[in-house]
Amino acid sequence: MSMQSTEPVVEIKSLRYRYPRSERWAVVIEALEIKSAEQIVLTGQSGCGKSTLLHLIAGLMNPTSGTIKVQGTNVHALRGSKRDRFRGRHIGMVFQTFQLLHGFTVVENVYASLMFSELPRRAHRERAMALLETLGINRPDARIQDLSVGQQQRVAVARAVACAPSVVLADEPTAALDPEFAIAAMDLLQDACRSIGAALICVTHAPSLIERFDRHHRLEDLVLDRSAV
Amino acid sequence: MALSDWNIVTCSMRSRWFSTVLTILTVAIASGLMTLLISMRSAGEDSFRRGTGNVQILISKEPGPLASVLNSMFYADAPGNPILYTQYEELILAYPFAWTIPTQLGDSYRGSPVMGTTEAFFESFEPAMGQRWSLASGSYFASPFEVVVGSAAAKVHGLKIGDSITLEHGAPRAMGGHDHGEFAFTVVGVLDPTATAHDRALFTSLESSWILHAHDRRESRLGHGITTTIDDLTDADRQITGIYASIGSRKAALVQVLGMLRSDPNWTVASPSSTVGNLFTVVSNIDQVLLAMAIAVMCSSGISILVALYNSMEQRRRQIAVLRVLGASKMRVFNLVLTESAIIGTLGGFAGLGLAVTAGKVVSGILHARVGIVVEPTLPMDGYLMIVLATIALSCLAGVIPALIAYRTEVVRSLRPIG
Repeated sequence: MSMQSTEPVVEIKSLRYRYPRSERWAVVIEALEIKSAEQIVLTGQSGCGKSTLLHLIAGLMNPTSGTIKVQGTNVHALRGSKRDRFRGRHIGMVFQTFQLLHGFTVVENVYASLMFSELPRRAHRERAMALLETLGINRPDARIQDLSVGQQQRVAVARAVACAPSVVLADEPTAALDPEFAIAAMDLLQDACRSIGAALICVTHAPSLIERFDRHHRLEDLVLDRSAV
Repeated sequence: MALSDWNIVTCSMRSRWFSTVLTILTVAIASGLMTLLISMRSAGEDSFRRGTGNVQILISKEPGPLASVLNSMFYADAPGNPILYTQYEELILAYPFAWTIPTQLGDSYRGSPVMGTTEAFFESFEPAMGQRWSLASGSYFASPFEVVVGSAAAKVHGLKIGDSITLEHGAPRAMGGHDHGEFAFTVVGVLDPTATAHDRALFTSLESSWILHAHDRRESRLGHGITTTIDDLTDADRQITGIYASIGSRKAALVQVLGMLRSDPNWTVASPSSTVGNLFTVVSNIDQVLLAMAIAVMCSSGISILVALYNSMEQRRRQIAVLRVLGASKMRVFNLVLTESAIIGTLGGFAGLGLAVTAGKVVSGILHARVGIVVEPTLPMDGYLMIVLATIALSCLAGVIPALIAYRTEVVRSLRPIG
């Protein structure tokens, strides 16, 4: 268990999201708070809206109604580039397929995240190299496509935490890994978040990983009847 | 070191290097073609004007002034209708010429034209305005059967002082010509280059030319084995094909003399510089077609940039979505794609200049070797700059649609795992 402050870093209220031309609510959450450095895991059946929730928190999608605050800022009240800048500075993301920039080197992938952070450019190299060393990546100039899957996962984690975000959103980060590597990868992600004091919201299908988190929510439990909302 | 937008763009181009290089090449060819056409256009006219030198009036019996200028000054073909030398002598007494030079064309040496003329050709005629003749070696002809060789002709035929040559009757490309093998000419001088059509000609005295033709006439009448000297020439043998003339600096007299000569139906009178100007007015119509073609090629290169970037957008959709997740705004990714097309335009534009300069040198070399005139396709620096800027502008325009696709990339959809 980690040390947490009482201030919520993510605060969700009366959140509703319905895909265009759909009758069914994809996400319904009455209230959810995640405190600073808290690590929670979200589970649920396929299609229950876990990834959609993460995209809503990241401000990549707009809710049909309700609010999501990150660090006290209503993400969806920010328009255009302000929201993008906010996301770059406060939210890190890790994807199932890592979504690394191919054609770029390992360190360039980390730089790509730092480009949009508040960290001065002259400090980027030092920050990136320190992070890669911490995460055990000793080939900073290797091309992404030349790395093993496990190494790519580490780079994805490094990129997500590089800008010292308030919250890291992980969308099935171990789904592409063998079970034995999945535990190690999850250790890596959780440790990285703890080291910078970032909250972690992780979506997973793997029951073996649930106990590693401070809190567990089944998305279906957050609302009983989606059609009745 | 940190990552910048520039790094992202160059990295993206590097990852699709083959398509990028081909696109740059397409732009370079289009831009180069355009540059070459524009520069050749002005250089060609300059070169033709240069070839008329300080001749104010060209008199002949050709069908028209253009044929007269092309044949007598640019050696396009042998002039058809001769002028008796006695007519020439009468003419120069009737008008206040500052100088006149009789010329006779009709013979050639291995494809190079041979002009019969007088010493005045080297004394009064300037092949390019303000540029007098000078010798690379030897001297001007002083006696019959001496020949002075233009710089290009000397180079092509490897002629040097003391060489003995024989001429062929007829213009370089004429049918039915024959060899004047019985008369050997000695090379006594090689001229310095003048960057005009005269560089590819050989020059000898009028008397030499007349003796060749008189010998043909006499041989057909008297049979083989005869000899012909200057004493055997009749008035009918003494023929010329053109007269270079100048009134000097008296403009009013020039207008008056031109008017009087033109009113005489026996003469074809040309003002060489204005005839060349007229020629280029006619040529400019063709020129505009070529220019339109170059613009069409430029447009097609713009489309190829569009297609290359558009096709790459499918591969780059995911990369753009990742950049958006990391904090890049829509406008920033729009600018990244636009920057890429601007880089393609810039590289293509400058490579095009390189191609145009190289091709210009090749074309110039060929023209000099074959036609004798020097066409140096150059533009003022701001002309080159304008073409490069136009290329960049066109490339940016072509990049707008792919940039809009990047701008409108749906992040969530683009990040969905494949399969």
